[in-house]
Amino acid sequence: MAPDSDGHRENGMNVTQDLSMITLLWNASPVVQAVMLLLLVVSFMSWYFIFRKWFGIRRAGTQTEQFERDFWSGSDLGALYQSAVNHRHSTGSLERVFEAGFREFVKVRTQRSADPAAMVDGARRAMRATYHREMDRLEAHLSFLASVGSVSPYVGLLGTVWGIMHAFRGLSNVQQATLAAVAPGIAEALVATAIGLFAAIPAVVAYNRFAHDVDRLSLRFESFMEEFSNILNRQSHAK
Amino acid sequence: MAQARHKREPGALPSAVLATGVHLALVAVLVFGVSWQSRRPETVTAELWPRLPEPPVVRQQRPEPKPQVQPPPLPRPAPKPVPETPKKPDIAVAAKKAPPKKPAVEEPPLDLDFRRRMERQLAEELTLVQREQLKTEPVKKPPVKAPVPSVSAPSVPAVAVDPGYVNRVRAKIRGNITLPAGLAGNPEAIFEVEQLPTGEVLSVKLRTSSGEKAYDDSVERAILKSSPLPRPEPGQYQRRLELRFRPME
Repeated sequence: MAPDSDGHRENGMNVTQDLSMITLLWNASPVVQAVMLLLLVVSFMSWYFIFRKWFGIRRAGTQTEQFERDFWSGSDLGALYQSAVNHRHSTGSLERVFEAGFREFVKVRTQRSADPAAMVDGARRAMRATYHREMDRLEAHLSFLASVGSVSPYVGLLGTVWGIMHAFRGLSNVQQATLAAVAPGIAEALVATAIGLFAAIPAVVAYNRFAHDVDRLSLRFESFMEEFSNILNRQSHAK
Repeated sequence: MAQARHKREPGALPSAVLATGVHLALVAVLVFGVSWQSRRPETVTAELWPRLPEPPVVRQQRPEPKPQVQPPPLPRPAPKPVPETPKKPDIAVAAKKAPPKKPAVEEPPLDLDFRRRMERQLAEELTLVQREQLKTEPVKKPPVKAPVPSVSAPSVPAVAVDPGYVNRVRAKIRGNITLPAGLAGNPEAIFEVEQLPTGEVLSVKLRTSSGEKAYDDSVERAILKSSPLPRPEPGQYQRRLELRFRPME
């Protein structure tokens, strides 16, 4: 009933503009539409990586916690190494660091000529290499989130500026410059900024959060490496 | 080792599903939220009238024109007696009620206006004829509707437009007209302007073009620019004004 009565009103009185979202997107100029599509894709990817990183980092955190508890509960290093080798597909980063260091340590110790310092140094290098690999895995895609957070507002702004330029160019053909002549154009242009911000804000928040989490994990890994080197050092001198 | 690591990367599928969910939620919020906000409140236009146009009169006139359906000459004289309203309906009602009451009705001939009296007599006779016709075939209502506008329509412009008011409106508009260069002659353009009681111009229609498109356009712009128009005297408000303009005035 409402649209019907709308349609029958005097034309001079009501400038009825359908400002619903779909018509806005449909009537936007191609550049604005392209910008919005790009931003939508970018936003989708950034959300995908946000969830993936979130799961990944949370899992890395719990695994690290678990392994630290196992390690410091005083269980045998050989048994720990065996379980790490056996469950290679489900081990955490810290467990892999430990596995690499211990394997190197055992390998060097089997050689007769090895001196204690060389044994610990080799294990340390192996652990460091694994540590870097693990850090790289944890930090993967974080740079994507960072660039989405910093760039997508500008892309959205580009779409908006372009759309508003378009709207005002249309205004020059009209005798009477009314707000109603430019309002739809500006509204649809602003949608581009909205999508850009929608992509950027979660990306920035997630990036900061994940970078902080990864930093804390790396700190834990490094301190574990130092402590484990000490343990290996003691063992090498004991033999 | 590297392959094992790729396999271990957790939650690829759940992440994709969740990301899709987030975007569906965003689209839903945008579509429904924005369309909800852009729904216009129902606008109600209220016009304030200083006087009511006496609705009972109009209502009682309706039975009266019935007899005038058949005779073509009658719709013309009918509007004239409109001003002296109270008596006519009486006649119509009386004539409808019962023919014996006629003598009582015929008292009003105190009127000195001869023509009016004649018309009334004619009308009475016609009502009688009509009544008889209705008795025989009572289902004749549809054609009755036709004369109603013919009676009520002339009653509206009975309020003559105050020439002083029209001149004030024209003067204000003329002040805003920019005469286009190279105008030949003194052609007249007639516009029909629709206005609110506050004087705001609702629409401008070109009734008769002056022949010069540029002049028509400039007058139209001037009318729109002159909104709100000067206010009429109370009771003189008319929604539609007919305005005539000439370049040399």
